[in-house]
Amino acid sequence: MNRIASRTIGAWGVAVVALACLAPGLSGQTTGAIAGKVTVEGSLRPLSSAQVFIEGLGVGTFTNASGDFTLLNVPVGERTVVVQLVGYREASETVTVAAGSTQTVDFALRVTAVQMDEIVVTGTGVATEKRKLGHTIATLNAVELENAPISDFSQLIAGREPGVVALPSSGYTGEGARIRIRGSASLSQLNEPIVYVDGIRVDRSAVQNFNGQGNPSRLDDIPPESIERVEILKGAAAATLYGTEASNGVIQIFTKRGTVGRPRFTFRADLTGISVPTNRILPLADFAGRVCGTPGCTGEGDAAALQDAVNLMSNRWGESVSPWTPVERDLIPDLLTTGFGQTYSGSLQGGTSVFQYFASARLASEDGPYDAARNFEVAEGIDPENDTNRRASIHTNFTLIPNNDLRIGVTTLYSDMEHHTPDNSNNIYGVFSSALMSQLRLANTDPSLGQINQYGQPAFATLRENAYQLNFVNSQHFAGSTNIDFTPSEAFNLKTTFGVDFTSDDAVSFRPYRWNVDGFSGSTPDGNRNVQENRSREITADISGSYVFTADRIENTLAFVGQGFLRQSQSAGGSGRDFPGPGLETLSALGSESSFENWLRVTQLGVGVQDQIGWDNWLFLTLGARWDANSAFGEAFNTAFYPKANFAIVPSERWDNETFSSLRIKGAYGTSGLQPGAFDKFTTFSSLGTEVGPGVQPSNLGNDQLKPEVSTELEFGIDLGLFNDRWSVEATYWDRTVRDAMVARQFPVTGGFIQTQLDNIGEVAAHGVEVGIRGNLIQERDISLNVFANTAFLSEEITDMGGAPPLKTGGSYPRYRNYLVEGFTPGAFFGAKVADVAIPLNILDPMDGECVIPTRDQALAYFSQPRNPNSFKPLAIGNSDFGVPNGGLASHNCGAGLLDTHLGDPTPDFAGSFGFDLAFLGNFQLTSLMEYKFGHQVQDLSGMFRRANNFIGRNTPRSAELYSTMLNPGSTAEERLDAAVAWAHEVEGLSPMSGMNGIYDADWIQWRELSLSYRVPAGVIERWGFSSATVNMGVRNLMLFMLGDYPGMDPEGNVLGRCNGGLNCNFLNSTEGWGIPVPRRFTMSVRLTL
Amino acid sequence: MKAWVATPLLAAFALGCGDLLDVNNPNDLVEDDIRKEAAAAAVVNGTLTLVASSVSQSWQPYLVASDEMRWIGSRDAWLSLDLGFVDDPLNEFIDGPFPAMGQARWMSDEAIEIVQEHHGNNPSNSIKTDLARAYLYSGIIYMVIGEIQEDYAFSDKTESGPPIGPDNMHQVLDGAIDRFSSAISGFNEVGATDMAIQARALRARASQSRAIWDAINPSPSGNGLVSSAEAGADATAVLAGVSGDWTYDLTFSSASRTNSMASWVNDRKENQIDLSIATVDDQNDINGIALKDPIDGVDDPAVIKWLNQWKGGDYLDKGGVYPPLTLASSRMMHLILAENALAGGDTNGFAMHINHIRALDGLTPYSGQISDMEMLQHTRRVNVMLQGLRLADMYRWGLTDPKWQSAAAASSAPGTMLPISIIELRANCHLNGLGCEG
Repeated sequence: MNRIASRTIGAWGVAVVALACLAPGLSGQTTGAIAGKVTVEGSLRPLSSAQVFIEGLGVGTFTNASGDFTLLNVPVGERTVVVQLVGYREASETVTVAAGSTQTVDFALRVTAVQMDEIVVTGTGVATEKRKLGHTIATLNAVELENAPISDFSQLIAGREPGVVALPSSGYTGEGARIRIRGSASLSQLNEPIVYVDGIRVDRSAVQNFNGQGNPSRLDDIPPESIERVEILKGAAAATLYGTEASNGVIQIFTKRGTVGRPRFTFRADLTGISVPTNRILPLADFAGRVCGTPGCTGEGDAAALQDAVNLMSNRWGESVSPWTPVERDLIPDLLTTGFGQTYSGSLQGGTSVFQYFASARLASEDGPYDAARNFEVAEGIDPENDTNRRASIHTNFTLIPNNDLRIGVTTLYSDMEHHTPDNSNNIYGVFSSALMSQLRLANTDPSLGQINQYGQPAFATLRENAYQLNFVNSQHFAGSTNIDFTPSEAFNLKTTFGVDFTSDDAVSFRPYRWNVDGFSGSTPDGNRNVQENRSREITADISGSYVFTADRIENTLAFVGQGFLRQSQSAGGSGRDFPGPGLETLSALGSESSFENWLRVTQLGVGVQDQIGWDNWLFLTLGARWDANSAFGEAFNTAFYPKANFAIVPSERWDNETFSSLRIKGAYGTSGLQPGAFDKFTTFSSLGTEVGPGVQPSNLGNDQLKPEVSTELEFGIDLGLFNDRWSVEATYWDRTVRDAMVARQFPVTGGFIQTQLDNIGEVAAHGVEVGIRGNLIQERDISLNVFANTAFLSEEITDMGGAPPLKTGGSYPRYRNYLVEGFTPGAFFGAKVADVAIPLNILDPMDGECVIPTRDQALAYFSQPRNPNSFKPLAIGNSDFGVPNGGLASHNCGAGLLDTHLGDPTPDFAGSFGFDLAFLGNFQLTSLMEYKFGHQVQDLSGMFRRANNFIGRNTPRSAELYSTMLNPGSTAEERLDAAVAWAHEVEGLSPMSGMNGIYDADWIQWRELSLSYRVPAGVIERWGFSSATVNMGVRNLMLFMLGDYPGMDPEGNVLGRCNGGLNCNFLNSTEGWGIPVPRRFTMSVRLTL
Repeated sequence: MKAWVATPLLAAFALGCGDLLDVNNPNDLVEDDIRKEAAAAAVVNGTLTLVASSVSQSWQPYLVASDEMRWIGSRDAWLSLDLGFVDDPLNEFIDGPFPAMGQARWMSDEAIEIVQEHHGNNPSNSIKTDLARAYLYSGIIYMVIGEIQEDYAFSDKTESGPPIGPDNMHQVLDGAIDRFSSAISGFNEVGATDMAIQARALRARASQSRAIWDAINPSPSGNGLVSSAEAGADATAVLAGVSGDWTYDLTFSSASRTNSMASWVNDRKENQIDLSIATVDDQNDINGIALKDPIDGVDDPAVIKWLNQWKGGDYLDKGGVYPPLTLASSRMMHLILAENALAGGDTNGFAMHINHIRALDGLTPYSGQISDMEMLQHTRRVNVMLQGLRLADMYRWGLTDPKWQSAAAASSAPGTMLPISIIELRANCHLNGLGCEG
């Protein structure tokens, strides 16, 4: 495949160069030239990369590092020169060009923070200025981010727009992030926005790999360097014309296109150092006396067992160990080192009035910070897994304009990825998780003292063994589209888009023969292999048009759209165990194996119509609707109807006031939907292997009444421009109700069908406020300072579950505490919470099922002898229902509602960012972005294990201290009691007290981006033939400021990352478990333009 | 929105698109498919795997709560079971296996109903055999439910069934006995003698379990000895039809499913055989036998036999994920007869059957070296080890696990079995407090 990719790249490269060489020759007549300089109004600071072009002609260029430009081959006559640059108001001048001469015209662009004149197309039916829209549509312009320390799309979109959040999972290289817009609109369907690239729908899924929490994201197949801008529709009010599937919003990515002008070659190189912050990883702690703290360690054998443990610990850790004094070692950071990444990209851009082109290629390679193998001798014949990601991509965009009426565009995007990751996440065979569960008293590197167990893994496998498990995926992604834009008159426009998005990935998890090199693990010691191949193809056919009618002060735009999507995916694979010998790596070599194949197809057809009436360019009213038919709808349901209406008032068109320079008042109503899964409507029985021949088993209950859930959204807001638009304030209130919400209802499992079944019985309400402020604080000759801040308030509630029982993430697995409960935020945390009583210890036998609070004397009597915390549990708050305390107490064998206390919400009340952009000393630019999340809780799951678990935990300094106090025969009863009470308040958790001491306030601010760039003066670079050169140093995730009491390693960590749907994918949030913290990334980059 | 509104607007797309909106699911069968006669065998085969899988899941919390297994891993809910908290519906290892039990029970009854429809007039031997097999597999899951559950509900798809109540759980064992009887008749009708013997052995077990149920409900009473004439008759018949160290096992392989319990014990090492049975090294791998024969003082051969089976041939190995689970054996049949004899005061008969078992292992015959009750308890412990019977035996004989805490149900309310778990308690309208109206 790589060879094919190389050939493809080569072929396209030759074609592009040929076209680039031909392009200038396509013009040629009696011409002159126009030259000039572009600066910032109010200062003389030059602006580079501004687009300069002649209106109506195929002549254009970009300014260089000094802000200078020269337009060659300009036909003689009166010409209008237009200058555009994001963040500045467009400017134009008319000059008269004479043959053979050069006219000079300079521009001073005015800084603007207001985006009302920006043209958008997503969800609007027709290209429209933002001012005419009653709903919110966010735009991200890549040119504003070219100095930002970002390496993929997930980073590009994170923290920039209120209401749009990227949720990472951990710090392994190549992991993608989940994206949520205005929370979660669905209780059961994937809450990711749908994604379009240049008009076609693309695969937004996770690239599935085995045994890891952070799957790569398909969205990261799109190289940031190829992105021109991104438009984001945040909800149903804006996304109605996208119909079914759009209620979680729409992201449309517009890739860079050719521009009129001479060939412009850009090269960029990024070198990145990757370092995981380890300051929040607690050292390992243990004590030898624990050997006699287990239920099995009693009686005469204690002394000998204790001495053996003392000897083993002393030998391993090189110090004299006393039985009850904890030993600490900071070993976990040793698994991490400084990772390294490099990215090289180049693009060629140019064209004439007839043909324009853009082509780019990118190669990104990263070796992440995980490096466990440097800590041990690598076994012969097998290799430890790495943490690497390599992506190669090419992107081409050609536009042919045969005449003024017709524009034909062809876009291709190809990406190839190879991704390796060690076993990780909440996985007993994870390498990092093995380190976190190390027991220092069990560690041994001396064969004479027993089996090698370098870090003291208590169960499952040694860390060294785990490091030999391989997980890798090879993935390809192709998106190709053709756009035909036909404009026979100024009034009428017709567009068609046809495209296909194809993805393919091959994922493998592999344990080589005798991977259990320490002889510890009993799991498939002769190896195993899982292989899965996924293929997905989505075809988009889209036709849209508009007719503009103007009369006097009225402008009426009628738009229509018709869309068809055909998505088909297939998965096949196999797995097996037991290779007959070393060196074998294929499924067919396995002693036992099984295989599977799955197939699905979804077809959606939809039409929409919209009419917009504008009055005098300041009053706008839009009405529209969309109808959808979908193959996933139940047999008893036909088509879905989604209406919309919005208005925009721009009163500032009627005044001329420098202070309140612009104002838009907007309001919108809209609906959109989400359809059920492809085959959810059918009652099915699936195949089942048996010992006596083929078999079947109950599978899906089925529901032929299934229909899409419908999201209805209201928006109201204002956009305010102040001080000649140097400042802007945008504020939006939105309110969303999802009716007929599909609830994955659990029916009684004694009825035979144990899977949940979708039913349109729920309702989810949400509302929020989004506020963004940006402005120009300083604008002087040598210094310019732009600042911004945004925030999004979000409130969500499940208002109706239709009588279905609460749903818990993780099924019967008790450690995941996110629930769907009527009356609470989706994913709310429920669990046990220690009672606020003096001695919250359940050490007396309950009377008639009621928990008993011990007196101090009773407690001292109980702790007059050493106690293992296994033998008692805390007293917790009792509940009569979810989130309804009953005023009593509960514990594992008394009271009621032990696990039903509401412990918090995983979704922040407030999320947003703030920062600045400082230009100084002419050529320097310093940018900073701080991202924050306030008003939420995070579960420190790996910390809970480390603190409380009997076998694989109790290895933090605090828990070891308390534990040793309780077990130490030399402790007093008072000391043991104090330790036990502290244990109840700080340490106890996991089953049966699930949730206790694990969920904390986790407000944080992350210094997400800081970069310093230096634009090399034109005088220096021109001698080398470059028009601009920029050197940039950037840091990502520079520093975390924890404002809450969260004790975990990284409040952004989550046991699950990019994923493809289901209850866990949607709502298993803010649960940090076993991942490495999100790393700092130090990037130095050079960008050259020829 | 009605179709007539949208149809004109969709026409441009729909015309020529044919059946684009009609998709079938090629991955699975729909309900009509499994009701065809050609699918009868597959329906019954599927039932076998579901039953075997359920047993391999459901026995594990039962075994950990007893003194046959213990926790050595990362999941604390096993500790609760180790400590004797056997009645917690929230315990993940009680809740986790519960759906599989429901699926197996429902599918087994569905299989009987489906194959019965094909039975009609003049059925083929194949259909007769399939029906007998359906009864056999259904009987197994009913028997296991009756042996290990405190209560149970019988629902049908979305229709919640009421719990039958702890006082009525014997009805489930009665249902198992009825099903085995139907299986025996069916197998005999087609001349499948071996399968008839298997069904008869299981009926013997179920009948004795029915007697044990009486002995421990509503709470243990008497000396714990039980006698069942039905079980004895079946055991005698089975022993007449088999030879040597015969067993009837649920089997597992890559063709079906893993033995869940073995996966947890051998592969994941979350649980291990109890220290009262086997000793372990510092990696918690078995390195010796703790339980000795009370007469010869040697490592008990029966323990070695079952551990060898459990670990794939050699109990010192780590073991795999496909060991069989024994449901009935000639040892069990002798034990039934021995206990019947002892309960009836026939000590010679008791000794005779005990010695049949001891002879299989080359042990010195029993002749009163220890008390009859001690001999019975030991012989039963080692010869039906890991077969889902120990907790009830502990209850009826007043035995406790040293790990049990006094406040745990196993100590404070002996006889307590596994509860209906939380997933059913919340979903079943008879149990969730919401009622079944609307």
